[in-house]
Amino acid sequence: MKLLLRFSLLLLVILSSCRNDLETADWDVDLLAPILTSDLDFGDIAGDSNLTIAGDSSLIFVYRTPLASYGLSDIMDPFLYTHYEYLSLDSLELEDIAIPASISLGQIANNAGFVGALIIAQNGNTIVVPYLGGVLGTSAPIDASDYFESISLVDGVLEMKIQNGLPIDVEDFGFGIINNLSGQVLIQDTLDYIAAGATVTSTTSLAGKTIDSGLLVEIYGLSSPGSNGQSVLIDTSNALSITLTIRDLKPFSATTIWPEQNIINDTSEVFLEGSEGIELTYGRMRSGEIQMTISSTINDSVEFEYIIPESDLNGIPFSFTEAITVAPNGSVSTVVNTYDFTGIEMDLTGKNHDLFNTFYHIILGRIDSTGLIIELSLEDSLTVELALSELIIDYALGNLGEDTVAVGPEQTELIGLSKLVSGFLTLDQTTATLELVNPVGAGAQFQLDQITGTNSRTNQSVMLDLSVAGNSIQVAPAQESNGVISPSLGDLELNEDNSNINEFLSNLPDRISFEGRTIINPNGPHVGFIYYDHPFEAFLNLEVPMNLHAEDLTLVDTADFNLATGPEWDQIQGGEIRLLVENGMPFETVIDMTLLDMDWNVIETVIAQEIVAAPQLNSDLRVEAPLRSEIVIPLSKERIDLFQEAHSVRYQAKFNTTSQPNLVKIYSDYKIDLKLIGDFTYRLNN
Amino acid sequence: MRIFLILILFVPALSGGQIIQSGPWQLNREADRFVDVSYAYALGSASIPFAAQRSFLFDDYLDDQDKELFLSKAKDNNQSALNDLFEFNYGYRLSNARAQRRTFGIHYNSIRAVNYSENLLRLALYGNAPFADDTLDLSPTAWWRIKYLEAFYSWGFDTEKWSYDITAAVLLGMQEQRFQAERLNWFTPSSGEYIALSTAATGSLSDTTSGPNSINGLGIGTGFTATYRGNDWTFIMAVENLGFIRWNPNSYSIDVDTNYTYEGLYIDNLFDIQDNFFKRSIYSLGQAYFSGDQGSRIGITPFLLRFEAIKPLSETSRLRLGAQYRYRVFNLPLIYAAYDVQLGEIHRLSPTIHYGGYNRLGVSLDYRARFSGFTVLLQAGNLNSWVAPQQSYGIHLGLGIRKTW
Repeated sequence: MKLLLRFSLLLLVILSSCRNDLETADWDVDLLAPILTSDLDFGDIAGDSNLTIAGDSSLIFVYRTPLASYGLSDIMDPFLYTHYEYLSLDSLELEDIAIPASISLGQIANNAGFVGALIIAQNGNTIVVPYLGGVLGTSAPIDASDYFESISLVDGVLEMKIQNGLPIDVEDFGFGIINNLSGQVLIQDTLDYIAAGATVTSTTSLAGKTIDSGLLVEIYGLSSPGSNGQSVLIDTSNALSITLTIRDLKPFSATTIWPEQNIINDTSEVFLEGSEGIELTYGRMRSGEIQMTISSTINDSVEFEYIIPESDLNGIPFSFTEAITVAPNGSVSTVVNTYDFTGIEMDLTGKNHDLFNTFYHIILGRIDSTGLIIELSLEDSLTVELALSELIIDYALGNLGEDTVAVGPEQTELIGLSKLVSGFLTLDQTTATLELVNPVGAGAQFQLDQITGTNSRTNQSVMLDLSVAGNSIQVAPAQESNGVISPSLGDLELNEDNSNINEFLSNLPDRISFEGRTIINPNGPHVGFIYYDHPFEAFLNLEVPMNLHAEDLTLVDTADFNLATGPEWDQIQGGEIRLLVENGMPFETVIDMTLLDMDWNVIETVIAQEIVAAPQLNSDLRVEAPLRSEIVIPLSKERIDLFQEAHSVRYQAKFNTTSQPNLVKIYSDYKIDLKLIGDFTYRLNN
Repeated sequence: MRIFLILILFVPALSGGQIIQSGPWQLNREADRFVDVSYAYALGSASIPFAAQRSFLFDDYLDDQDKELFLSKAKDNNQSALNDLFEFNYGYRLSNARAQRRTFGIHYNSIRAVNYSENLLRLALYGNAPFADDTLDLSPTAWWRIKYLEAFYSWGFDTEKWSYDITAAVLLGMQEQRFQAERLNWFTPSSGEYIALSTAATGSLSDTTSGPNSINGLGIGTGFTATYRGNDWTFIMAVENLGFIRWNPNSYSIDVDTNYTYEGLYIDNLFDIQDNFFKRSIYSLGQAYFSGDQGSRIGITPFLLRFEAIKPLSETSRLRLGAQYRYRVFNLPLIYAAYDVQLGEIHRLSPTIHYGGYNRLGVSLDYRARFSGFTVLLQAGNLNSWVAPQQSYGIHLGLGIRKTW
């Protein structure tokens, strides 16, 4: 019955899911399988980059640590500069405006009484015109709205040219030009005499005046001697032709059609602050940018141009243009943009080539002729903010000055030896070199005042004795040809004969502290070059042939260990893990492995004092065949739980060559092969 | 390792059983219209006793006794299969048409068939450690899993003596896995330093990037049934589910002939063991072995050949003798003899004895109850599995309901 119920349940499951992913029974299998394989060579202990191979394939531990560096980044901080200008319009230009007008003989005769009537009556006939006196005034409007609506002038000239097209001379000709709407008189004059056929010009200043487009030419009166007894043909359409010319205009504001013109033209110099003490004449930018913010109140679109004339970017001077749109009435139009400064080459001697660390730029503002009537005023303005940021020079020429820079006290970690915590190591033929590399076009000197190696595990320090070898090196300026640097090099070798270098290194220092100074141009100022990426550098080079004798030389390392998320471990019911070790190193090694919790407390000792025996050495003191050892790590459910609780694992390996009376060399093909093999009962479940 | 072992144990243990199939009109001979909804689940093995399958499915844990039961009937070449089939059919007659009987419907077909050696079964049950220093010949090893939907339409033609049914279908492929090893040798030295696998195998795998019930292939299918009605006997011959599916370009094809030695996951820095190295170790073995060529491929469906002879014995009883073969799923053709007996107006029993397929000798019983135009069907296959679970090899459960007019 129970079985039938279970089958019914099964059927329901199948019908409801149409799938067959059923819960099934668990069962145990006995697995025997390799899990991990790895190998360990001397590079894993000392760091591959710290090893080189000698001619006999033995290893040499080399270590190079920088002691000092001096380059462009030390000379100059990244340059930050904000250039802010309020630019009012320098001037506005308008072209001359010429407006024609005329007063005919008929108009004059209408105001000339009886004689005037006679003249009109004789139109088309030849008569002798008698004296005309006291001809009454007349006026004629002038429409200049095709040219402007109004112009307020700082300065200008109104010129009135009158050509007498009448058959008679004119005398006492009084006239004026008036703004029709306001009645303001622009010009008022009287011409004593204008001979028939002659042209007379009258000019007057318009400074401070406003001209409207609606003008009126006013004739106040005139007289004429007549035709002086001569018969002349009367044609009442003959006229006094007047040409009104407004010229030499310097408007304060105007509502008019503006011609194309520069309204801003500003040149200024920018000093690279922070470069005091050096005198650069040329620089190529490594990085940096310029952010431009322009605000305009101008009621016209303005083309803005920024130029660094004495610069070069891809063969042309660095420049950019921006169009600023029409500012809404009473408001401003703003443009913000950023430009990359990378790669720009600049002259740094200023506009007149008599400065250092200085470039100059030009800011231009231009309006185009649009054919539209637009109001502009000298009160309109542009505000320009040019923010140069993180400007870093990649390459510079000039006098780099004289400088002394203290180095240290500093400390550097000797990676590779830091894992060796205790024991005794006998070394042979070690050397150290103090090396200078100067790719800068300036002389340099490095003086090492003291250098000490410290084994922080034993707290033992050994000071390197420089009293015999000396502690100072000087190098000449580097040379440069077609962009190729020939650095100046210098070195000072420290060996067993001129120092205590063997003692220094046998202490297994993991920290090296030092103190000294770098002197730039120790022999006085020098004009040269400098690259950002090529600073002057001082190094300490250590070279230790791996020909050694180890006694309880102990390596300790701790690594993260986290199996908590591996559900497979829960399936292991018990068994063991075997560590197969094929030892190809000439050391006998004693291994410990402990698991640590998050507070670094030991929660389980996995391997305790297991010995990996050293292989036999031949007559040349070389390992001929690796020697196999097996370490068994029992697994129980309880132990696996501890594995999963662990946060880190600590390995300890104690190396000994004590079975060998001689120093043994470590060769490049030496290694230890490791294989982790699982041999356990594993539960297969859903 | 766990995935690998689950794979080779789970599939054969869940596979097995068989369904003796009939066409929809064969079950609704006199109807003018009918609607069928039925589900059948068949699980069986020619080699694994029903009691062992039952333990695997319903017990929490397999002990050594259960494992021995698994192996008690194992032979050099063993077979298991599982077939679950859901059918919806609607049939109707058109009196004036040439093809008077019409049917359309949707079938869901899921078949898993596995061939495996006794050694593979032992490896799956016990692990490799007990066989250290022995070369385990795991061939023959093959499995085929296919899951697809079939939407079909059929036309039925009737004459005085003959009836024909022709079916056209669109196939929607959901999943297919095939693997067939000609050579599969496993060797583990007692040191456990490596595992050596020597394999010559082919296989394929449909798109695994989508969900288990996604459509990963499209195909077409057909079927043909011929019925001859003689004076005493009626004979039925049919080819059903014949078709192919083009699986999408995310499918993989595998063709390996290699000797591979697995020495564990290589770790460059032993001091930097990460938490997932155990899983990566297993995964790297699988990747090395089963990475294949990606691309679209065409696969044939497991079609069914069916023959049945029917002889009425009385007004209320008849005898049916038949044979069926499903391509690549049956090692042996299935032969059966069924006795249908009507009990009153409502009840009908069909005891059946069968042999072959992926079972061996078995006895089944079908029960049908017919009332108010409805027919309810209950099928209990391999009844002997319940009586002698340590000797028999499968179960078969069927449930259906039908309305005819």
